[in-house]
Amino acid sequence: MAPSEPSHYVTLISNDGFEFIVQRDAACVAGTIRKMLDPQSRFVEAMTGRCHLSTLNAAILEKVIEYLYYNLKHRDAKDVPDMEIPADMCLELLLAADYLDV
Amino acid sequence: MATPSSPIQEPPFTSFEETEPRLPMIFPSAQAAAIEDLDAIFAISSDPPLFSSDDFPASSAEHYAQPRRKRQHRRTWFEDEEQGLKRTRVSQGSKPRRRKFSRNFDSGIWLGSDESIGTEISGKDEADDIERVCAMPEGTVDVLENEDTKVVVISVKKGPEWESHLRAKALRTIDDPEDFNGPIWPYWQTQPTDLRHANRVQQTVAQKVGNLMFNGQDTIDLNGHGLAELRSATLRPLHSIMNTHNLRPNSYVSFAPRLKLYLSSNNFTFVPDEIYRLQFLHVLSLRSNSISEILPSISALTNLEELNVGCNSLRYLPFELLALIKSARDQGRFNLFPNPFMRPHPPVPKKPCRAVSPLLGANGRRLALAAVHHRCTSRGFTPYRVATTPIAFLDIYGISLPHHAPAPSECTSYTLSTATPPLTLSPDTRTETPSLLELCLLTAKHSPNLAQSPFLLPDGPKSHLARLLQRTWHIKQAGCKLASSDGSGGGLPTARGSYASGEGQYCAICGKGFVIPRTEWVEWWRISGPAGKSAILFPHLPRRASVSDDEDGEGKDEGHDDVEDDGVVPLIRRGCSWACVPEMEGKVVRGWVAPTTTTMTSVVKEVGE
Repeated sequence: MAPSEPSHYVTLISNDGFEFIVQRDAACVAGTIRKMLDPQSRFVEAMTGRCHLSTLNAAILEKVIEYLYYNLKHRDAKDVPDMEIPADMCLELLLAADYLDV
Repeated sequence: MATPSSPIQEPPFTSFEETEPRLPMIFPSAQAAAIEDLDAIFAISSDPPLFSSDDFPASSAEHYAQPRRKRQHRRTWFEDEEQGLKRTRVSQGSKPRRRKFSRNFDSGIWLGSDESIGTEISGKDEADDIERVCAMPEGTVDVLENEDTKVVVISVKKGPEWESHLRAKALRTIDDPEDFNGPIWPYWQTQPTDLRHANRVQQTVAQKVGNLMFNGQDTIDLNGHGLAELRSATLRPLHSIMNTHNLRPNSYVSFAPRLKLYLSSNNFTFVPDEIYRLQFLHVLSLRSNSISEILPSISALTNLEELNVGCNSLRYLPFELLALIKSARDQGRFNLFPNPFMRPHPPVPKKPCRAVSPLLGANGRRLALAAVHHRCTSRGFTPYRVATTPIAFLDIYGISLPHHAPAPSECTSYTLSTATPPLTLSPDTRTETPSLLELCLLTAKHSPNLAQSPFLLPDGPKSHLARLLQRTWHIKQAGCKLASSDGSGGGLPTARGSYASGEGQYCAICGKGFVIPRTEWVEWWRISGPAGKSAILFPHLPRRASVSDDEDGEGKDEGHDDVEDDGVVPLIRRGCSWACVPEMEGKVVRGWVAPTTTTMTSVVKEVGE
């Protein structure tokens, strides 16, 4: 059942059913998702490549994914500009960051 | 008793014996006394009123039989007299009208939930403006409201599950966020046992500050008042104080005051945030408190000449203090001892030797005391670095990673002689990108609702987030805004306070503002030379432990009898990302420009022998 060659993309699913297909490298920036997708862990998420994030809604998850790509893009960069965070999403994103360990 | 505005001619027949000037009379006094009703007689013959103040019958000059006041109309032309009087009376009321809490039966907000056993009462104490919004056996919610502050104090007595319930109740009282200065005793801190007493102390302090403004003095003596915190609003009048009492004619005197603030023997656990903003502070004494940390914002106090932080719980000092010490070179008095400072262990060698290997050798066994020796300049003693801890890499919450070098601020006693060498992060994982948590906190820092945001967190064990938000709040409060900032350039020793603008905390390497540190290390600097040579006055530590009567005397004596340890203080430095680590020895890092041409020799001492 487990694919021998893990896919380059994984699916992140918000609690209201939106599916985001993101690069595995980007998703693994977040510590919690990295542990979910760890092939050695034999979690369902690791086998199917689909992560249900039941605490995040679509709007927050979209912003989180924006950050994951931002982090991936600027991994080796110097003088990284700060990503814009809307003030009204700030607390929710804080909780999401706490949950995702990112 | 003549009113100045009334048209009085000097009476021609005033006798000198009279103490009171007689009022002018049209008629001879005997005749005037005989006539009873002047109005009745002259009503026919007087002129019709020309002015509004003349529109009553006996107002003409002929009827000037007794002193009269000019009529004053305190009303608009369209109001009648009663309305005008009513309005004046309301506006003259001394106390501002307070919002009245009333139960709104329609909204359902105040409906008691099923599990609430107690009752809600809405009583208030007029004298102290403390309102008990909610009193239940599980805890209380008190609201203290002044003209400028509003404090919500929640005390939970039974179990943490009631906390959210009470918190939600408290939050409802804060219905206008603009007025809310922030919870000064939030629920996660230790509560003052007696809010009323604490408030009274604050009012006394505010009164003292107010008196100071009037007297034109600049010394505030608040020693031994049992203060645990000082509200920002209390100290804020000090910003507008001016030095006007030694003005002389034909001379130029600076209006900048020389503020002296004495706060020793109180119960402070942190430096009140507003102090970091008092730019004209010359003397600050915080002796004999329980302060455990001084924020880097102290670099904003560029006029500080005397600082006394002895007898506190400080284990390290901010690196930014060094800039103050250096530039206050001759007239500065920095009293930093005694404090339970971290000490390099094993102790620093007296004589620097030749370099054996660079700082923080990755091979682990030979780690980690590096000493840089600078010569003493002729002008006095130049501070120089003695030793450095290994760099601690911290996770997104600012906690040190397991099996890595511990953060110096976390450990109670820092010894370098650990049996297993700590791991270091490989350079390819060191990214400059801030974490999402950090970005959120930076955004929250600029939000006007930061003070409330800990209340807004949902239930559950999220107290670490609340603590982070609390720290963000402190950093924001202490963040200095310097008008003469020249961007991010400039070294500390040359241009004092050349920091960008009010971020409060700056990366030691890249100079960006941050909230959560990701790297941390402590440098020990010798900031005073042998007694007599030093410009900075130190009470020298007793050389033997037997004479020690200080709080930090115990447990630190083994490496302590070395005379060279006198005048060595640990200065903490923090970086904003894992990439922000100091370069190898000899390089100039931001925030510190190495002193004039010196021979730099790094020393690595073999440890664990």
